[in-house]
Amino acid sequence: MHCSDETLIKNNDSKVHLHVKECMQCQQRLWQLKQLQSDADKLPVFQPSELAWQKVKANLPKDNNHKYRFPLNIAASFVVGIMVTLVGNNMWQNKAIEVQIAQSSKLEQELVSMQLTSSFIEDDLWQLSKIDEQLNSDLSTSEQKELWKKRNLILQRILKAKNEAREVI
Amino acid sequence: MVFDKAIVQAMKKGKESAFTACYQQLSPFIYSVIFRICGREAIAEEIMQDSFIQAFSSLSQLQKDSHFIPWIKRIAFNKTINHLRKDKNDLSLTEEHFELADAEVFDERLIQQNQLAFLLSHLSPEAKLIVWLFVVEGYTHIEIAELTGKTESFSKSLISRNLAKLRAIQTGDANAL
Repeated sequence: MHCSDETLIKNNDSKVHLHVKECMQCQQRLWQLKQLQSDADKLPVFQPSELAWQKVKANLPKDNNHKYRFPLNIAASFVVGIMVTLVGNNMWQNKAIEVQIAQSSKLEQELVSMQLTSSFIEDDLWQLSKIDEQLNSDLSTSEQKELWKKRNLILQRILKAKNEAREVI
Repeated sequence: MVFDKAIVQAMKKGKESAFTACYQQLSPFIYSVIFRICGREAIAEEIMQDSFIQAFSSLSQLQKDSHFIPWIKRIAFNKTINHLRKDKNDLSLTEEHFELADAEVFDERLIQQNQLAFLLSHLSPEAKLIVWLFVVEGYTHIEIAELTGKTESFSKSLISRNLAKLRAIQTGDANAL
């Protein structure tokens, strides 16, 4: 029985090899297949037109290195947003301190005009002096704001207490 | 054909220079095979372009970098088969369609010297493809059946019949094919 074309073209079996060695017909068929394979290498190679590349080039996939990067425009917007928030917050904090300072000055003026006795407000004045000491040190904006708030509360408490005492008198 | 695996790796990273190098190196061979089968320059060029576009855009599906050439060839053969099927069903075909620019049909010297060119010049595009896949690309009949949608026995008998005719011609029967 002769080998099929597929068996001949593979020719990777020792039985096939032995058969081909002894069978003239299969030898000729194998030779023909090998001849055809060798002829394929001798066929001319044609060049596609230059324009053919343009269509392929226009459809090239994007650079994968940039594929998974965070989009630059979104990152920039994000950074700008944070900066605006920080600056805005800082401005708001500064403004809040200015308000506290102004209020503090007003309250102090009121206290001075009331001619308070030192025994009456001794403890509160001591607290005020402590706060003033702290305010002279290096503090963050939010800490300053809190101290000014505290200072004003003390001043308001003194004024209230004084007013109540005056009413009793 | 020697093809550097590094080109495939660079293409997977999206390097344009790698795509260019790949196209420059492989497009003449792929174009020539398709042109040889379908016989028309414009169609061959379109199939070749589409094959490269598909291969480049689906590189992530390529399992082994060393298999790039058979992979892109398979894409090209698939597209060629689809074109041949469409061509067969296209009833609006005119005579102009059959003016095949098959260079080898007109290259008598090549046909006389080259048995494969001689055989191909006498076959229909579909038969050319099957002979090419079997003889040159080393496809098995099962693989050809999968690709063409025909039965295994179809390609077996087609190959065996045409090779027998070719042998008959070589032994003196000029009208065998």
